[in-house]
Amino acid sequence: MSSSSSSKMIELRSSDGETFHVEETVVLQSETIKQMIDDDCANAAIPLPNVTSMTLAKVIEYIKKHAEKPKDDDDKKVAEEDLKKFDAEFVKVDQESMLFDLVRAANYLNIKSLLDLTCQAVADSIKDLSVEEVRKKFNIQNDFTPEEEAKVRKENAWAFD
Amino acid sequence: MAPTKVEEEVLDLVIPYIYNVEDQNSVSLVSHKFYEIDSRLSKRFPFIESLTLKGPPFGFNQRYHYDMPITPWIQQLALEFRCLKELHIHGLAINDEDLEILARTHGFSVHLASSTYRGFLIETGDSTVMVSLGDISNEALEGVGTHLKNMRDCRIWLGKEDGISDLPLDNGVRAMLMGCKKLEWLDISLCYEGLTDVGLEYIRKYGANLWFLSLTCIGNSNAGLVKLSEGCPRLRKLRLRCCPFSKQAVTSSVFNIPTLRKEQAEKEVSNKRRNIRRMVEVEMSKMKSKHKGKKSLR
Repeated sequence: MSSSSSSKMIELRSSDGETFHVEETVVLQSETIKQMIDDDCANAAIPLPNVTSMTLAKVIEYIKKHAEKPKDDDDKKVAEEDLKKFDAEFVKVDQESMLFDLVRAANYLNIKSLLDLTCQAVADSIKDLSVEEVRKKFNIQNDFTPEEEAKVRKENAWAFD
Repeated sequence: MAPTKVEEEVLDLVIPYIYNVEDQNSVSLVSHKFYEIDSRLSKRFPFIESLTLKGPPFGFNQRYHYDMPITPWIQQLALEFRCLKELHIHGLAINDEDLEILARTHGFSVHLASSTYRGFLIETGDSTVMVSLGDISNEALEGVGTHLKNMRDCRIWLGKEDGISDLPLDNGVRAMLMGCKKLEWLDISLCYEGLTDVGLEYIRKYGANLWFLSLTCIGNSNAGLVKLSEGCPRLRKLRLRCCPFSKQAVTSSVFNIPTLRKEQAEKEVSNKRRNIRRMVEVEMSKMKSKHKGKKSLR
């Protein structure tokens, strides 16, 4: 684990008012927070009104893991494998809504690797779904008239590999 | 406008991670909004550098993609995709106007490719564009020479004669070769009288950088081949199919071209594993023994 005891701690406050203390070096993985720190806006607790405490805890778990530095080259390989396993487990969440929350949080906090990881997990879950199933999964109303839908389906029909 | 729902926001973010085209279709068809997102490619990816536009697979449904207009795409590309460096277009019809727009707004080397039966294919490592048969004319080839100066590979295939009244394409090929000075690869498959001995002489004269030349149904006499063999100093591979040249003319003219002769000699001493692309290949099997009284009144 990170041994830099001298690292400055940053306080984050979730939408439901819970505060989290995270080392600055760890939290800098979030471009959004990095910007705030750079702009000197991080003297008090940083409010994250779009992120619940449950989601924020998961995000912090992720960035902490990704902030670990391998000691040497041998360790590096092990660490890479370990990180892959961690990522694979990380997106196996019980509730799909948690995965969605993580996508939004990663986007809001601007953590590129987390956004890639979670979006890919959602994209993989869409694989081979029909239009109707995608609508259901994302709770989206079909606002096409039957005529329109027939037309756009036809248009799309040619655009395959 | 109603606030974006959580799930919609997620789906919006996830779209760039969906690579399977059928899955992409499923998403773009869920509602008007996602249909529009899908069609606003340039807004989503403003810095796109390489784009491939594909028609249906070759032979899938010939009728279908002739109707597929590509001009709106080209216009959009001209307006929005400022960073575009490569454009690949497969199996879709593109016309002179499209080429002009592309050359004017992007000035990159566009390579034409026709994967269709009635098409006309020119491609290079960078980008690919297809021109349909209706556009094969001397004028179209001149347009290629004018706009696609960096073209290195060119394939022109003609399936049927119908639809073209502008034969032979001798002058068009001359104009194209004069414009496309970097041309290294030329593969022309036409029909009878599509390109005459005169055209072969133009290839001799202007094909200075040609490295590969494939001719199918080209020329009208041995004289054309003899003329050709007096030029093309860099030619390494010559393929002749269904051309009216005698075996004797082929044998003697091949040895007229120094690089071909050298390659032939190298081929003899090298083993078969040698880079096959460097070898000479003259396919004589399908050759007609001689041009048989088909002289037209020109």
